[in-house]
This record gives sequence, C-alpha cells and structure tokens, in this order.
Amino acid sequence: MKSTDIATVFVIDDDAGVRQSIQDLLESVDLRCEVFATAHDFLHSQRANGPGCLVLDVRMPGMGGLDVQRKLAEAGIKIPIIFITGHGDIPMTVKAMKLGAVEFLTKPFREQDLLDAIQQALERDRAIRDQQREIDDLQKRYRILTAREREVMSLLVFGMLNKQIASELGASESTVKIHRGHLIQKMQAGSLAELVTMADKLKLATSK
Amino acid sequence: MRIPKARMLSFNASLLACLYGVILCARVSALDPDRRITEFHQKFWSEKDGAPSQINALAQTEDGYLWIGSNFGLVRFDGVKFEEYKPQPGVELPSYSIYDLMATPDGGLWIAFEPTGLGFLKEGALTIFTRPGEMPESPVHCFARDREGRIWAGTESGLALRQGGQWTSIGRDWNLRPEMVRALLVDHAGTLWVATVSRVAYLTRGSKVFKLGGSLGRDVTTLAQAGDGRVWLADDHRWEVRPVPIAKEKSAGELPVVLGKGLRELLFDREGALWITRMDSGVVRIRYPEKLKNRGYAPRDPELESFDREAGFSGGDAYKLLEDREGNIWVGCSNGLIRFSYSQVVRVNLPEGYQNVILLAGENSDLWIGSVSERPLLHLRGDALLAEKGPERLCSVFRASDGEIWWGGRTGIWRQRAEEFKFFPLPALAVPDWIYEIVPSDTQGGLWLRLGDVGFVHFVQGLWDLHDWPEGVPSQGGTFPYGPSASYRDPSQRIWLTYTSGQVCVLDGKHVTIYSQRDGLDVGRIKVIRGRGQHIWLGGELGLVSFSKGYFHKVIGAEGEPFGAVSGIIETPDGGLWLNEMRGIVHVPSAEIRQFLGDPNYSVKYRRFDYLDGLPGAAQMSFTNSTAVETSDGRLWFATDNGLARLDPAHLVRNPVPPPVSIVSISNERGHQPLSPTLRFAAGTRAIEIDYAALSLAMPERVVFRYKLEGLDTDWQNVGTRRQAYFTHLGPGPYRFRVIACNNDGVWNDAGASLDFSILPAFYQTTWFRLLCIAAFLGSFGAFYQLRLRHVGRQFKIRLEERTRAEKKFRGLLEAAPEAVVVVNQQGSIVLINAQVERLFGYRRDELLGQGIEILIPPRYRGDHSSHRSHYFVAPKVREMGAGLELFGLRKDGTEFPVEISLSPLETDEGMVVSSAIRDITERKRAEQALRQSEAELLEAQRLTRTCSWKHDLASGRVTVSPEAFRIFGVEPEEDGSKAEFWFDRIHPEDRKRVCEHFQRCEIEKIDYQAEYRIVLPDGTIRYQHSVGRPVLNGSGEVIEFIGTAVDITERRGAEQERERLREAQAALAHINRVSMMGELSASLAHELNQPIGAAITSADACLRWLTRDPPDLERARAAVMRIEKDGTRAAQIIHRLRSFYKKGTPPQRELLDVNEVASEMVTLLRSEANRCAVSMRTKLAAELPKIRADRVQLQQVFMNLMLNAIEAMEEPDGELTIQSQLGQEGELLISVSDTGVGLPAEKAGQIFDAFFTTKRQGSGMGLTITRSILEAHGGRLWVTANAGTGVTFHFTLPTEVEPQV
Repeated sequence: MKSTDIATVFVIDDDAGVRQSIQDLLESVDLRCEVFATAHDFLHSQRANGPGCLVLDVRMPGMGGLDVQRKLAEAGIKIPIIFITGHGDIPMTVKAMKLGAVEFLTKPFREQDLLDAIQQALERDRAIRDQQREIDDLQKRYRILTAREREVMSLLVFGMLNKQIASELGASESTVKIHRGHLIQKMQAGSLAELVTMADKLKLATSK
Repeated sequence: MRIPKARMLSFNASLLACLYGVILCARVSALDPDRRITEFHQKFWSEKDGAPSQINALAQTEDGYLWIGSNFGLVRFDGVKFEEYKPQPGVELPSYSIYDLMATPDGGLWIAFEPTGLGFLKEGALTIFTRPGEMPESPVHCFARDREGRIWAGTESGLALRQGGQWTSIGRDWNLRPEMVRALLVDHAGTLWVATVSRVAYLTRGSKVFKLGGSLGRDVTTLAQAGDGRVWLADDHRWEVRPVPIAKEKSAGELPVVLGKGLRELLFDREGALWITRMDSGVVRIRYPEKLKNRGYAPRDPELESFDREAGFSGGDAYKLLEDREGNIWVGCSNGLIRFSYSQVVRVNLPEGYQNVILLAGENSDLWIGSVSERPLLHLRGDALLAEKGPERLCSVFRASDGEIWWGGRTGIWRQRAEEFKFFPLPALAVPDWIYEIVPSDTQGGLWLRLGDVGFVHFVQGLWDLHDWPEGVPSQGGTFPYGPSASYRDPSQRIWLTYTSGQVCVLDGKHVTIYSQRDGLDVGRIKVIRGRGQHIWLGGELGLVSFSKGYFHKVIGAEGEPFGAVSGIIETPDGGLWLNEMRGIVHVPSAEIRQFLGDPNYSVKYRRFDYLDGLPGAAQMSFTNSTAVETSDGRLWFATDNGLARLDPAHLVRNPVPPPVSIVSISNERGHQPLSPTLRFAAGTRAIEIDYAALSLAMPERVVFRYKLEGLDTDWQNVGTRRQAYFTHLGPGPYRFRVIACNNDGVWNDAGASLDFSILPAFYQTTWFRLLCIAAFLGSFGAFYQLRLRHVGRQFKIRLEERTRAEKKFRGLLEAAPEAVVVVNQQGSIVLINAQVERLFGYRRDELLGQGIEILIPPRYRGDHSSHRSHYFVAPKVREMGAGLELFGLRKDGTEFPVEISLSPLETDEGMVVSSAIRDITERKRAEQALRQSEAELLEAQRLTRTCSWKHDLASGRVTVSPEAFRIFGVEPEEDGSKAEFWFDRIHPEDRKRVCEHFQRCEIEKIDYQAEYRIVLPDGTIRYQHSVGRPVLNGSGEVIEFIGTAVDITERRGAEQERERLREAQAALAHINRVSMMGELSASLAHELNQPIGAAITSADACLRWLTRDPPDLERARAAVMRIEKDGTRAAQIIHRLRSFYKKGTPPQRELLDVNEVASEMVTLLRSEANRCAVSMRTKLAAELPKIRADRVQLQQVFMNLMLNAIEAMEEPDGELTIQSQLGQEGELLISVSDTGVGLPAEKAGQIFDAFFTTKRQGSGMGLTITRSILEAHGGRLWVTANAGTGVTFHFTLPTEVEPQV
C-alpha cells in the first residue's frame, strides 16, 4: 500500500496551539494526521483528494470553514468534514450539517467526542471511496465500448428487444446480437439485469 | 550557420559505431526468443508524451512512418514526434474514429473510419470514399491485400472485394456465408483467410471457392500465421489460442492454448515467438509456440510469459500488435503506445541491498557476487540465484594460482575451496578495518593483505604477522599516503601494486621499480589493473593506459578523446577489451587493440553501450577491486551504481535496415509552404527552415543525419541527431536540399531524400539594377566634388568676418557696462557716453556729445557744480562725488532722480578727462523708506502682543530693550534700563535664581535660552512672562551677546488651566468609550480566550493518553505539558492586555512608544472579531519609525475605534482591513486604517466627527469624536478620505519631535 493510501486526518486551524494539540491527540491514538494553517495551504497541498477526513475551524482569516466546505463540494471532493469552533451559533451549525458535515464541535470539546466524530468520518469516507471505485471501474469498461455498442447498450437497458433495437438503429438483428454479446462481455456483466444496474450507476438510463 | 561542437561529437560517436559495426560481425536485430520479455528494452508513450489513447489500429507505411488509428483521430509517428494527421485543404475526414488501417506496398494506406467511410492516403493526398458503391455496403472492420494486389474488406455483413474502384460482395457464389467478418489474413502462400462470426474459411490462390477451415467458436478476434506456415486464431468465446484445425490434417487434434478471457490480437514475430494482447491483462508472449504440439498450456505455465500490470505494464488495455520492419514489436493500448525492442545489455535483478558489489567468475559459467553491505555472498548459476551462508561485507577478492579463492572483508579473510568457506578473523591486536586488496607474497600461498589505510599485514598458512612489510615497498606517507589500490601478478611472477596517488610499484623478487607520471602513467587515481600475458592494462580516474617495454601508453579514442574513469577491465580471449567506464560499457575490438599495441600513437575505434542499450546505471566506482568479469560461457558482467548488467558479445545484434529518409516540411519567414517539385519562394526570402525525418523506429535517439544545400554548401554537414535545417542569408537562385541518415548501428541510407526549390531575385538583386547603381555612384561623386569647392569658399569668408568683429568688441565692452559712463574734458564738455547714458537720461547720443556736463544736473545745483569741477581738476583722484550729499540727475523730460557718482581721472592725448560712472539709486532709496516704515510697525505689533525684544551684551553687561519692555514691566521709559540687574531684579524672588542660573548655563553652553517666570510690577501686580533668546557668536566662537524677546503670557495661562479641566473630562469619556467597546467585543474576546484554553485541554487529554500507553511515551507527554504551559501563558497575556483597558487612565501618562508595536497588539486583540466578520487584516508598517511620546492606552483606543469602525463597515465577507504606518514629509508619523466596506455618503462626510452622529444601529456616536480629541490632545490630526475602490481610509498624524525642555 502506498503511503498516500493511508487514511489521514487533515486539521485546518489558524491557531498554532489548537493545531498542535489536536495533532498530538490524534497521534496519541495512532491516527495519521496532517495540519494546515490556512484553507489555502490545504487546497493546494495535492492531498485534498486523498483518503481521510477534515477537521476544520469555522472561523479563520481569509477563507472560513464554511467556504472550504463549499469549495470542496464544488471541486467534487467528497471528504467528510468535522467542524470545530470557538462559539457555534445555531444557524451556522444547521448550514454546515445540511452541507454534509459529520459533526459540529464547540471548543473546548471533550476529546472523546472528537475521536468518535473522526472514526465516523473515516468510515463514511471509506464507503464513499468504495462506491467511487466501483463507478470508476464501470466507467473504464464503458470507455472501451465502440460508439455503436454504446448506442445498443442504452437501448438495451431501456428495455428494448433485439428486434426493436435493430430497427431503431437500422441494423440487422444479428448485428445487434453481436454488439450485445460484445458489450455485455466488455462490461463484464453477468446478466442483462446486472447491465441495467451498471447503467443505472453510470446514470445512462436517462440518456434516452 | 555551423554545427556546434557537442553535436559534432555525438555525430562522430555514431560514425564510430558505424565503423565498429563493420568490424564486428553481429547478428541481425530481432527479439531473441531466449530472452525473457522483461529483458527487452520497452518504452511507453502516453498522452503526456503526445501519443494518442484508445489505439484501435497500427500500420507502418513504405516510407517507414508508423500510423496510429485511435478513437480520437489518425496520428503519424516517426519514433520521436507524434503528429495528428490533417488532410489536404478541401478534404474532410468522415470521422475522427479509426477502426482499422492497412499499408500497401505501393506506399498507400487504407483507412476504415467508424462508423462508416473509407479513405486511401497516398503521397500526402487523401481520397475519401463515402458514396455507395465506392465503399462496401456495411461498415468495414478489417482489410487484406492479396498477392494479386486486390483489396479485400471484412465488413459487418460479409466479405467485399474491390474491383475497378467498385466493391463487390462475396457471398454464397464463392461458397462463403454472408455474415460479419472478424478478421482477414493473407498468408505466405497467398491464401486468403477469413474469420467470420461462425467459422474460418480460406481461399487458395487463383481459386474462387472458399474452403471451410473448421467450424469454430463464435468469437474469433484475430488470425495470424506462424513460422511453420500454420494459421492460428484467437477465440475469445472459448478463451483459447490455437492453430486453425484444417480437416483431414494432423493438426486437427492439437490441443489449444487456454489463456483466459479478453483475447484480442495474435502476432508471430520474425523469431517465431507468439505475442498475444489481452484486454485487461497486458501482453503475453510464448517463446516457442511450436513446442505446443498436443500439449495444452495452463495459465501459469512458465513458458507463457505475461507482461501485465504486476510486471510493470501501464498501457491500460492492450489491443493492437505490429512488428515493424526492424523487428520491434509495437502494442497499441487504451493508454498509449508500447515498443519492445532488443537491448544489447540486460539488467540482472539482485535482491535488495546489493549496491556495491564485487564480482568473481566461477568455474562453470557461474558467477559469485559479494557485497560490501551486510548481505550474503550470492552464487548465480544459470537462472538460479543462491545465497551462501557466512561471507558478507566483502570488498576484495583474489584467486590464487592453486585455485583457492580469498575474499577480503571487514573483519577478516574468507577462504573458498569449491563451495566450502573458512573464515580467518583478524587477530585481536589489529585495528579492525577493511581488507582492500590481496596480493600473493610468495608462490607458496603467502598473502599480503592491505588492511585499511594502515598498510600491509602478512598472512601465511592461516597465521597473521602484523609487522611484516613487503621488502622494498615504500612505506606510508609522502607520495604514498595510502596502500596499494590494486595488484596483479604477471607471468614472470613480478607483483604489480598500483596506488591511488597514481604510482605503480613493481616487485621483482627483492628488486623494486617505481613508475610515476614521468613514465607516462597519466590516469590519476588507479582503480584497476588487469593483464593477460605480457601486456598490462591500468584503468584510473583519467582513463586507460597500457604497459609495454618499460613505458606506459595512454589509450586514446579515434576522435582524440581519452576515456573517462575506468573501474573494470576485461580482456576477452580474442584480445578485445571491455571497460566498465564512467559513461557506459566500452568495447575496443581486438583488431583495434592489435593496431594500438603495434603503434602506441594509434587512436582506437570503439563502441560505447549506454542507457539506450539498456545499461541500468553508471559504472560502479566504489572501492571493491572487481567490477567487471567474464564468465566461462563468454558472457560479460558489469557492476553499475544501479545494479548488475549482463552483455553477451556472442549475441550482439545489428540493425541492418537503412532508414527511409523524408522531408517533412519547409517554411520561410511567412510560414509553412506546401511541398512540391517546383517550389519557388518570393523575392526577398532570406531564411528557410526544413524539417526532415529518418524512419528508424528501433532507436530514433541514435539516428544521425547529414545534409547539404546544393547551391550553398560544397560538403556534407554533419548535424548529429538534429531533425531540422535552418538557413539564413540565402540569395536568389536555385537550390537542392539533400539529406541522408543512418540508423542506430550506423547503416546509412545514402540515397536519402532531396528537395528542389528556388528563390526569385528581388529587383535589387538583378543585373540591370546593379548597373543602375554604378551610374548613380558616378553621378553622386561629381556632385560631391562641387560641394567641396563651395565649402572652401565659405570658410574664407568667415575668417574675414572674424577680423572685423574683434574691432567692434572694444566699443561693445563700453556699451555693455552696467553703469552710465560720461567722459568730460577740463572744459566740462561731454566727449564720450555709452548707451546707458542715453537710457538713463533720455537723450540721444548726438544731443549730448559736445554739450556741457551741467545739462544733466538739476538747475539748482549747477552753480556749485562748475566750481567743484574746477577743484577736482586741481587734485584729481578716484573718489565718490559729493560724499554725504544727496545727488540728483536731470532727465531730458525734466524729471529728477537720485544718483550716486564715482569719478576717475584719465590722462589722454587731448589732456586730462574725467570719467564719471553714474548709478540710479531710486530703488535703494525706496527700500530705505520701507525699512523705516516696518520698524514702526514692529513697535506697534510689540505693543499689541505685549512682546518686547531685548539684547544683552555680555562683556559690558549692557541691555538694550525695545520700548515695549518698559510698558510690560510697568516702569517709566525715562528710567535707565541699560543694566541687566535692572530687569533681573523685577523677576519674582521665587523664580529669580532659577532664571539667572538657566541664563548662565545657556551662556556657557552657547545654547538657546528659554524661560517662563513671574515678574513683579512696581504696584505689586504679578504677571507671567515667557522669554526666549539666542546667543550671538563672534568670529572665534565666543558668545558676545544674547538677543531675544519676552512676552507677557498672563492671559494665556488662564486659558490653559481651563483646558486641563476639559482634558480630564475627555479622559473620563474615553474610559467609558473603552469599556463599552469591550462590551461589544465580549463575544470575540471570549473566543480569543477559548483558543488557548481549548488547546490546553486537548493537550492535557493527549498527555494523559501518552502516559497511559504501554509503555508510556514520556517524551510526547512532556511535549504536551510544555504546550499546556505555553497556552496558559497566552491566556494570561490576553487578560493582562484587557485589564489595562478597563483601568481608568487619569491622568493620561505620556511615555515613549513604538506606534507599530501598539498597532500589532491591537491586531492580535481584534483578530477574533475580524475572523467573526470574515475580515482579513493586513499591516504595512514602515520599519524604524521614530518613537513618539503618547499615552499608551489612549493610542490603543484610537486604533481600536478606527479598526472596529472599519470591521463593522464591511458587512460583505472577504473584507480587508489595512493598517499602514509611515513617516510623513515633515517628520511626523502618518498612520492610516482603511477598509473595503460600504464607504461614506458624501453628504455625511462632514458630520462623522460630530458628537452623537452615528450611522450604526447601535452606537453612541462618540467613538470618532473621542478619537479625534485624543489625537488632537497629542498634537495630531484625524481625517478621512474615500478609497479609489470601495471603502474609506482614516488617516491620522502624530508629531515625533520631543517635547521642549523647561
């Protein structure tokens, strides 16, 4: 396993004291931890997409915690976030939780609360990543389909019969059968039902 | 334009390779079936190298280019650069997706587009077929070309044949089922093979009836012909690869190879090995498919090599295979393109940790590999690598004449007999160190061992003698700082010892000879010595020398270059030499060596094998004494700094294919020009750039070129690997560009390629234009002669004029005099005047000359004047006229004006004359009048301001005062105020002593005097006075007097006491303002305090966890406690800072402060508040500002008010607050606080400093008023300006000068 594959807790807090203490706490329970003074540093660290979770101070000079959450969401990075703040107000908490934060902790917090939240976040991250890997895998298989095979596939998962597909595409039924055989093989689908599930995951079903 | 030297060298290296190739008889390049797939050189081009992805088709055209068809277009590759193919103008590709490509022997290329459309590309012109009839009825999947040159196409609905530009479907009349064709193949016999979805059929040459090759699986993906002529297929339905079973032939019963799914393509290379691409599993190679006979291959069969992701395959999915004409195998993949080519050098994989190794060839083609690391000795036998127990950390090896092997290590010496090892440790008395070198001391098995840098120890029959020293060998020190670095025993039993200092010591019995640089031994530190028979080779840091007939000769390469550092030497049985050299493995063939031994001045031709040949790194240069050996099977082994390399001289391959050369493009200043046989460039073209290529795909990096531009060059230009020619300053005329190239093994294509072009002459390059130029030149020469004549005449005239001007100069001087000059004779008549006289008196010159001087004098003085004049002539001398009298002149218009006149007598030929200089002094008179006026006004001003001026002469003690002094002191002006005591006595008795002493001090120290004191008026009234004075120094620097003023300040004092009370009120108000501000900030301040407290708690938790671990980590726990301490201190500091704010600061205490420090403190304090409002704070503080005297708390309050205002003004996020400090032009401090907030409406700008004015929802309206009053109390100012962008900037100044003393 490469070092970048180990789950890492990223801590962003502008206060060096808070940063160090959290890092030490996490290391004392053998969690891998990287700290950043600003959100900017983190977003430019190339690590933003690595496995792990994010412990984020809400209030920071420049880009605040909620801005970071929004930026990550815009970039399609689905890293789970735990917010910590010196004084959380309810509207802020609601906003953060709505955007998918795992937990919202008010300083000073109980260390067990933070550790629990981190465990929860890392599990969530693992699940997201597994799901993503499956979709990546499917997309890779889908890429090797020819244009014609993709057409056949979209019609197939729409529920059309070979005959219908043949007339739709202006090809012979046997040709469709060949395409169908190829694409099921290339997609490594065990059955038509499985292919439909795959298409669903690839969000192809809506293309027609 | 000439070729840089570096290129010359690289070219020459290739030239040598060429000569070398001729010398060395080598086999033709191909992928040796005995090598493993991982032992070939493989190169991967991905998208980042410009290669296309999703490669569906590969073809090599006759001109040598590799064509790549992908889902995203057609790309041409010359081994170096990928170029996307763009058709000629006016032709459009039917699609960017390419299904298949086929090159034809006439230089053409067939292209099947997806989903439909055909193309044929030849000589740069693309023909597109999209109309029915021009192309088969359904989409084309594959092509084939038979021996008759007919083109066949496998389509979605069957086979099609191209005849006369039309396609015919081949159906049942040819005995072929019309169904989808998957693959086509024309075999060596000319038989056409067709794989459809259900069967394989074949058509023998000349026949029109297909025969069935057997009923088969449904999913044949490809066909290929093996070396024995049989056609194979890949069936991806049954997951198998096998020969097509021909009915009634023996092979029908053969078992297939079963591989697994994803089979795509088969290829038999020219060595007969079978290559297979598999979708998800890379490339598979079967070295000897003929061994398959009746034997099925299991997936893990060792004969079946897999180059998959685990082995380093990074192409994604492998699709397409191609063997090019040089025998390289190309694989088209989803991620790019891979090439397998033969490499001369093979890397031998060793276990980890074998960085510095020592090599020894065994008896039976085996190899022993020792390491200086703590790694066991390895034994490589065939493919098997065995680790010996025992010997490790080895750095020297010696094979004795009796066959015993000795390994020198770190702590002793190992004896090896066959595969038995015995260890002899160093005696306890010896300093443990490496045994760097082992030298026989006699013929009975005694050994000298070089131990560390100490020197020798003697080892005989298992016994150590630490004090024995080889007789005659120089001891340590001087020119021999270290022991020998290498040794050799020659056939006449002489022992050669080489030293790192560069000398060689030869022991012949008891006779010792020492050789040094004087004897031609010029290789720097010597690393290796080897010999065979009578000739000896020495390698060192500066190359290689040989020894013969008592003299050393350096070996020089054919270009005059010495070799680099050499750490290993092998002399092969044929006499050739192999060097483990700094820049690669060097081979000097035996013929060259013979030439060199015959003539030591001969420069040898050689070949170097480097990374391009597969060498993993540079030669190992560390201290082991054997880095290159030859095993008894003739293979050579070299230690590099990146692993072990193997080279087999018997199996060196040679690429015999001369590379086709082509000219790619030509361009001039206007850009690319289409290539054509009659290329003409417009007049004025000066620079031409030509790109060319040579198509050797095996090792394009070693392809070198020569070119010649006929019409400019007479000889070929050696340009190395450069693929572009650039010519400048070309004149008009016809040119022919010729270029030739050779491949990596120096095989030249002497025909090369050529291109004719011409440059049309510009009008100025034509003959008639040149004639015209000559005529113009002659014409202009004549004109120049005329001009010269005219110039000489003009010079003559100028000289004459100069003479005349000198005469005029004297008269000019008189006329230019600033004063009016009148010359009068004894009779009183005017004889000469200048222009000033005319101007001053208003007469013309002729009106005055000859007149009596009295005409210029007012009538009332005329009488006296004539008598004065007579007196003057009696005793004439230079003097002022009418001393003490006011003199007046009379103008022609009758007006008078004051004058000053000086007289000078002048003796002339016509007797005595008097010259009088007359000055108009009207202006001076007017100034005198003004001075008198201002003195009167000063007196008046002194009276009004109750100020007097005084002067105190120190020598006499006399005092002069202005009249106002008497009024201020209430004494009569008649009294005598000339004594200093008179005035000092009137100072209040309590102040008198202080003032007197201060005055005396100022006198001694020569400084300004300043005092405030009370005086007592005669009526007993007490008044306040402020006096200032300045010392006046004489030439020698002594104080002679003080001058100064004294002011009655009684009224002003009263006002000041009023102001003091106001100041106190303000301080109270400021305190209220501070306290209320703190209230507003309480939330932020709580957060600021929360940070260190929270951090401390977390650290405490962490500390507990470190302590409760098993075992407890005290170091980490201590670090946590130290952080707790730091955070606690931080919290305390915050509270301390706040406390001063709540304190009532009465009275304000001025101290010397650094404004920047105060500003930074406030930034820290308000950080949380700024964060809360998403405001970022920046400071631009000028360095080294002077300190100011101010009240710290009040100044903090100024900053806090302005900063809080700014933060509140910025409601939008991402606001920025900037605090700037700098030194103003008059030495004051200039500080500004700017925001990017809402700004200030113009109509309210005037009101903001008013009390109770506020724009905030909650605000007392006192903040800015208090700020302003604090600043004004400190002598500063506060104002506001609108920013260029958004927001406003508050500026304030603070004076820096120190308060006046006393």
